[in-house]
Amino acid sequence: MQNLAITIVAALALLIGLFSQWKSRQFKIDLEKREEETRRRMYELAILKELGDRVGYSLNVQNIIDIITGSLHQFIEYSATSYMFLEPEKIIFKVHLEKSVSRKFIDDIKDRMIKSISALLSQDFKKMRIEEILSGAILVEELAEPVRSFFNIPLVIADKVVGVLTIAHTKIGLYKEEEMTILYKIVRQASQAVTRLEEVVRIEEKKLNAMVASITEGVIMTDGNYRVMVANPAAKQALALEKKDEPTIFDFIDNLEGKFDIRGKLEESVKLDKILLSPNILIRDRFYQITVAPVKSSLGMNQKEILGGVVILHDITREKEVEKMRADFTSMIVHELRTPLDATKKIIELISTGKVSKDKKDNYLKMIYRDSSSMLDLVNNLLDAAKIESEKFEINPEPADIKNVILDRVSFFETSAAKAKIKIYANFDKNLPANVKFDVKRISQVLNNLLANSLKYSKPDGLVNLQAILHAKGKDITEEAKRAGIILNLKEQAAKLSAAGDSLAVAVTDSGIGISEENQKELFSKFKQLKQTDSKNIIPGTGLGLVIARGIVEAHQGMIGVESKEGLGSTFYFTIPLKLNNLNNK
Amino acid sequence: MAEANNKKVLVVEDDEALLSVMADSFTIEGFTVFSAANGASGLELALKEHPDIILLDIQMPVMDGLEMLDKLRQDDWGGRAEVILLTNFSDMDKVAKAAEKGAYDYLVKSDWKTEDIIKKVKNKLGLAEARAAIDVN
Repeated sequence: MQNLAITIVAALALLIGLFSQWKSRQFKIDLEKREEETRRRMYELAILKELGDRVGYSLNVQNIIDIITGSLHQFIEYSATSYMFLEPEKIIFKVHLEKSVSRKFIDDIKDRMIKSISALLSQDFKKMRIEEILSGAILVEELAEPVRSFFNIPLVIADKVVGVLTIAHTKIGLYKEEEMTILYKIVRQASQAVTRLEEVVRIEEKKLNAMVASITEGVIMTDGNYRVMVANPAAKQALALEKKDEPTIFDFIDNLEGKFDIRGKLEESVKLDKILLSPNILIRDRFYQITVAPVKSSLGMNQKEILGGVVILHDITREKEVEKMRADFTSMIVHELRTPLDATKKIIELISTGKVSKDKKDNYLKMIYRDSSSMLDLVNNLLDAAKIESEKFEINPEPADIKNVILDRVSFFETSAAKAKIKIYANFDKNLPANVKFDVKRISQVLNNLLANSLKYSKPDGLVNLQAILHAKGKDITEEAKRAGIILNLKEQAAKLSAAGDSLAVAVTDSGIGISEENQKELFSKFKQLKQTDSKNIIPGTGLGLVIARGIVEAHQGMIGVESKEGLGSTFYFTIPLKLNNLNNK
Repeated sequence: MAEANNKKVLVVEDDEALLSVMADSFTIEGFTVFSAANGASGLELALKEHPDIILLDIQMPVMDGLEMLDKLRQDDWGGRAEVILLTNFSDMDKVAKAAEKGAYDYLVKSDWKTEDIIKKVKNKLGLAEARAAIDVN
C-alpha cells in the first residue's frame, strides 16, 4: 500500500515535473512570440514615424515608397523589393536587390506586377513604356533560381490605384499572413497620410484657382518646365481655349499665332529674374498688354527658389477704344468746323473778284448764313456738353404747358417732315397739368433733338408719334396710357417709367431703322455717333444731341431712355418730375 | 483764258457751298463745269462727259471718293483720267491708298485758295498761262 502510495506520488511528481517543463516551454514560446510581436510593432511605429517626418517635406509618393522599401529589410527577408508607379506616359519600375539574382528573376517580377496592375485597374498595361531602375546587388546570370515567394500590395492614393509594391524571394513559402498584414498596414497608413496632405493641397489649390479664376485679367502660371499649372478663364477666353480643361503651353503658343513668344519670354524672365512688359498686342480683335514675371518661393527652405513664371494678359481694348473715340471725336469736330469755314472763306474770295452776279451773291449769303448758324450750334453744343460733363449745367424752370411746347415743336418740324414725306402726330393725356415747372427752352431743345433724329432715321412715308402722359407715383404707365387713349410703344422700359414719381412722361416714337441693342447702351454717351453697318448711308452728326438731351433731362431730375428694335423703329422717352427738389436755380 | 474754253472740269464735293463756289470759280475762268454731290452721280457724269480733270472729295455720302476712283479706274477712259483728290488732313491714310490706285495728285482743301486750285488745274492740263504762276505753290 505504501508502495502504491509512493508510486502514485512519484508518478504525480513526474507528471507535475513534465507539466511544468511543458508549461515553461509554452511560456518561452509565448515570450518569443510576444517579443516578435513587439519587434514588429516597434518596426511599424519606427517606419511610420520616419514616414511621418518625411511626408512633412514631400508629397512625392515615389519618395515615400522609397522610404518604405528602403527599411523593409529590418523585418522581412527578401531577394528583391520593387515597386511600379504609374505616370501618364510611362510606368516607373524600381527594383532593389538584397541578393544577386538572374535577369529572368527580375523579368518574372515585372510580368507579375504588370499583371497585378492590369487586374487592379482592369486595363491592359502590357504595351506601356516601362522605365526600369535597378539598385542593390548585381545580376548574376548563373543563379537561375526562380521567384518562389512573392506578394503584392496595391498603392492607393485618394481611392485611386497609383501602383503596386512587391516583395519577392527565391526561397519557398516565406511570406505569411502577418508580414503581409504589417506591410499592408504601413502602406495603407502612408497612403492615407499622402491622401490627406494631397487633399489639403488640393483645397488650397482650389482656393487659389477660384481666386485666380475671378480675376478679370488673363493669368497663366507655369512651373519651371513650362508646364501650365494654372490658366484662368480670362486667359483661356483671350486665346480661344475655353474648351480645353487643361491647356498646355503648346496650346497657348499655337493660339498666339507668333504674336508673342510666350515660352521665350518666360525663359527670359526667369533667367534674368525680371518682370517683362510687352507692347500692345492684337489678339483676336482685342488689344492686350502682356506682363511676364518669374514666380519665386517665399517659404521655408526653398526661399528665393524660382518655381516658374506667370503671364498676365491685360486687356486694354477699352482704353484703346476710348483713346480712339477721343481722337475720332476731335477730328469729327474739326471736320464739322473746317468745311463750312473753308467754304465761307472761298465764297468771300470769289465774291471779292466782283465777277459774281447779284442772284448768285444772294444765294451765297444764304449759304454763309446757314453754315455759320450750324457752326454756332455746334459750338453751343460743345459748350453744353462740356458743362454737363463738368456738372455745371444749369436750368431755368418756369411754369409752362408741355402740350404747347410740344405743339410748337411739331409745327417747327412740319415743313421738313413734309419734305421727307413723314407724318408727325401728337397725342396728349387730357389730364396733363398746364403749369409744370421746367426750362421751356431746354426741354424744347430735347424735343428738337428727338424729333430731328426721328426724321433723320425714318424712311419716306414713315410716321413719328409724340405722346405726353401724366404719370402718378406707383401707377402702371401702360395702364395710365390706355386710360388716356394713348398707345405707348414701350415694353421692357415701361417698368422703369412706372417706377418714376409723379411726373410728365413724354415719348417720341418713329418707324425708322431702329437701333441695335448694343448701340442703345452707348447712345447717351459722349463720342458715340453711331456708325451704321451700311457705311454708304452714314448719316453725319456729332452725336452730342442725345448727350445734351440726357444732361437737360437729368438736370430736371427726370430720366431719359430708349426702346428700339432694329428695322422696326425706336421710342425715346423722358420724364419731367412735377416737383423739382432743391434746385439751385433762381 | 480762252484756252480753258474747251476744257471740261468735274467737281465732286458733298458740301453744297464748297461745290458751288468751286463750280462758279471754274466757270468764271472759262471752263465747262460739271458738278456732283456724291461719288455715284460723279461717276455717272465722269463716264458720260469724259472731263479733262476731276476734282474729287473723299468723304461723301452714298459713294465716297475712293470708291468712285476705284470704279473710275476700271473704265477704259477712266483708267487714264486726270484726278486731283480734295482732302482734309484727317484723310491722309486714305490719300495714301488712293495714290496706289493711280490718283497722282491731291491737295488739302483748306490750305488752298480757289485761285491756286485753278492754277494747279491749268498746270495739269498744260495751259500755258499758269506756267509762270505755278511756282508760287
